[in-house]
Amino acid sequence: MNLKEHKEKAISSGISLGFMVPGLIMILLGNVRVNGLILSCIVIGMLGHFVALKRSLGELDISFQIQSGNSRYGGVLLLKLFFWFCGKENREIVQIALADLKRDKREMKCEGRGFWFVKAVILWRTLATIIPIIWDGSVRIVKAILPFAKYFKG
Amino acid sequence: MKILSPTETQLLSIVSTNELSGRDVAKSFKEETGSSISYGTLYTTFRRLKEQGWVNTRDDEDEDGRVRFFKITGHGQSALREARKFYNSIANFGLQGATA
Repeated sequence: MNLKEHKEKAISSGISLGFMVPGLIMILLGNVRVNGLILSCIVIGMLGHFVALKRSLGELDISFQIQSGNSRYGGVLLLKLFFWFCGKENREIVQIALADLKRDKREMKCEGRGFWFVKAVILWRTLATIIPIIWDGSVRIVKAILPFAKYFKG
Repeated sequence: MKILSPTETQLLSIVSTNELSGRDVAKSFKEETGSSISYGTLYTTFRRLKEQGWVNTRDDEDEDGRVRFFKITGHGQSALREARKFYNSIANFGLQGATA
């Protein structure tokens, strides 16, 4: 991130904290009724929070060296988000798959494929990457639980 | 010994001669079988094969990120032989009587 982006993130985080949090605390404590002023505070705070979150998502690529240009391809961003829900072993797989998708994307660009074609293919391949990982994880959980199932019979 | 699934057999066959990266394995798989394999299926299958001790992995890095290379082990070679024998016996089941 450059200096401008850091400033934007700091300002949006400040707005988020300065508006949304006091508004919510007041409502939670029950000291004041929800009126227009508090509601607008919360809305402004949420907007600030959204911008701050967007900036934070931009920072996700620090761990696997993906340039921000890739965020144009929704599939890559989806895989980046999935990365944070995975365990250590699956994170390795996601990192390798991300690098492979990046190579696929470059290859398709070299072949002269259109932007939307590349986007659709990457999104499809991302989903085809995520689903088997979830399936494999689920099967492992079931396999781990099955030996204990006999104790609950009868 | 556990019998390999058809996908496991195909993937082991691909890495039985050379050490290949996951992406190259996916390309070879498409050339050999005519159907594509997703990276998720490929890497989770290879993880299972590695847990059984049938493949070795080596990680490397280039400008795009991590690359994982796969190579069959000695145990993998014998498991592949067993699997091929098993699938051949299924394919030839009942054919001896029909040709006689």
